[in-house]
Amino acid sequence: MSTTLILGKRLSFKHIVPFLSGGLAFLVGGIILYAAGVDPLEAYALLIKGSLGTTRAIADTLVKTISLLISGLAVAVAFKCRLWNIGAEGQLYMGALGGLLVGIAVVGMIPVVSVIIVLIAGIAFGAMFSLVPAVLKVKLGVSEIIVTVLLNFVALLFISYLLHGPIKAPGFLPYSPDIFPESELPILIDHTRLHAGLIIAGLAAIFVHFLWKSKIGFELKSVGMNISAARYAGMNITKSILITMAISGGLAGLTGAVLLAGVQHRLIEGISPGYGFIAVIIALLGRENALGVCLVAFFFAVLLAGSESMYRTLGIPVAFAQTLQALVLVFVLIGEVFTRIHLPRRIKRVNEAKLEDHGKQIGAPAERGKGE
Amino acid sequence: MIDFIIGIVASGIRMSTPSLFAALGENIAERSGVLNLGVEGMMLIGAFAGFIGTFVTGNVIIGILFAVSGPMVMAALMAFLSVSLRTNQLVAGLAIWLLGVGLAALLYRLTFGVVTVAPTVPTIPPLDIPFLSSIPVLGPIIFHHDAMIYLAFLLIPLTHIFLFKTNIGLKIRTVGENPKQADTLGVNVNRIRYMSVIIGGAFAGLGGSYIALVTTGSFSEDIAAGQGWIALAAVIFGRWRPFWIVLGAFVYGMVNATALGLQTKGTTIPFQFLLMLPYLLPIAILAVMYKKSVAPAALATPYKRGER
Repeated sequence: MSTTLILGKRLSFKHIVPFLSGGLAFLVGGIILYAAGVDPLEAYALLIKGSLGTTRAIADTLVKTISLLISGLAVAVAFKCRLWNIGAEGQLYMGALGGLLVGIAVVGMIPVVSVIIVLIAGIAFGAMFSLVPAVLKVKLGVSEIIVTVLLNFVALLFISYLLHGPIKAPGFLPYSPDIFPESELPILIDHTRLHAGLIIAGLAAIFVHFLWKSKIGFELKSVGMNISAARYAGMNITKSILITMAISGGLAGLTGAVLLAGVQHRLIEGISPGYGFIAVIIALLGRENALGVCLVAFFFAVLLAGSESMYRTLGIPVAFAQTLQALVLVFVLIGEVFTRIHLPRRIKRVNEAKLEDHGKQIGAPAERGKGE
Repeated sequence: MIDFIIGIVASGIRMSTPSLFAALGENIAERSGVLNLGVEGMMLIGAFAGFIGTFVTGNVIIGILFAVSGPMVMAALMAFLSVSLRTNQLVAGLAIWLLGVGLAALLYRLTFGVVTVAPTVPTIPPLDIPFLSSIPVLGPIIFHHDAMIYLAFLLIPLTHIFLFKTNIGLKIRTVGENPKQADTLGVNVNRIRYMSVIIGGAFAGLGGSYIALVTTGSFSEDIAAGQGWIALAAVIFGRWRPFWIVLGAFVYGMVNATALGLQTKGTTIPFQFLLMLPYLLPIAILAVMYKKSVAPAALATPYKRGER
């Protein structure tokens, strides 16, 4: 009897904690706003209104969700296999470059085919770029964390070079030429910016969901979680690490190609406002699974879109969203410990109290263990 | 030509200083068994705190005190997460990094709003060491710098002595190699780790403030430009020994200075490729060095009493 009750309690508490943690992050964010002389309630109301208030606002939020979702999945795939790929931002830019090179070259095909080739080029470029840290890891044992971070800077500088030179369109600004219209992702709802990348993002989520259920996904996970056990089971470690990184980098590259084909239609230096870094938080908060990443990506898109309207109306810097996202992560990390350590203790207490009551009812000595 | 080379080396030393500070501090944290990936975020907080402290009070000493304390708070949070709560250290470090990046940008924008001309503070001027600065070649390279560089020079042997010649240093290293044994010997593992991580934060703050108060005299969101990550690479390159870490940071600074020197001299190489070098070189060095370096045995492992 008591067991079922306790299990029920644990489940519900475990699910409430992340929301409590998120709430605390908003509380701290509110205090920062208050200290800066802004009414936090007004600001948060604007955040909701600016991201979900009108059809156009919702569409813009979904457009941001697309990028955050695909890049979040990219990082989640790597993290799940304990590969610390912090290079999604650079891989995203390389993917956008791949998409661009195809998008400005391929002409005269039916649009669907053309778009698919652009996206595949993005995946290929992102995957190839992510193989640099992967090869360094499997061949020389170099930790991928620092390498992936540093390669972000390399990728951005490389793109900057291309945009100031070889692929610069005529004019003053460092923009590439536009891709051909048939390579653009079509708009889903008229008079909004919501494009078919939403479908691509959904497919990517389904892909990752089923990846973890597949045999190959199981192998990739196993190598990440316990490398010696996986080796003992006869799995190919090198191959697994390379595949994981390629999938991760490929998804990051896809993010870039979708941004290119769906939003900008050309390559610019600021095509991603740090999606690859926000993706790190999304992957961690989404517990590295597809559904979790979907939910967090949408939530963070609301924050991003809302923070833009907070900026327009109240002058609150856009960095507020970034800070809030990091705060949510910090509080969730703290909260996780409560479910891990303190909750079992609480359950034990509840359990003991229950037994005690029960014991009293049947007349058994109940004082034992009370002072422990 | 000789003046050009002297100029490059001197500026290489200046450019290596931020990551040198941060790496010396991170080394202490890692020696105690805590890998703090949040160095970049702490440096940014340090840069902002140092800037705002100097901007408001007009006193650079108070600015540096600000710069040291801000990251110490961040480091305390890192220690709370990784030592007390035993969160995965990589995850906790990434959280500290991203929090620092966001918070520094947010606080800067909240204070100054959107400005067309970035507010500035006077940079710390160079301070010639009497007699020594007039030695040919060596003088302008080593003894014609600002006070913070001399502090960095001083901290190199000091951190070495601290880690290898003092009782507390021995405790730190034991905690990093074998926390269980340290615990049995009566060392408070958690307290040592807290202390080491917070010292690391203070050092990162010095590094961050160097960028804001000496290199630029202003603040911007991307001011750290990956130097916190370079510091992490320098610690690995230096195999957790202060004098070798210096070499790692110095090589980074030299590449940076050479790249900028070539740029001003005028070359046909696009400047973006020159700017890539400081990021590519640590990767190359790590690739060569990584297998040879042996990290503290308990690095990135949380310690819990009574667990095997």
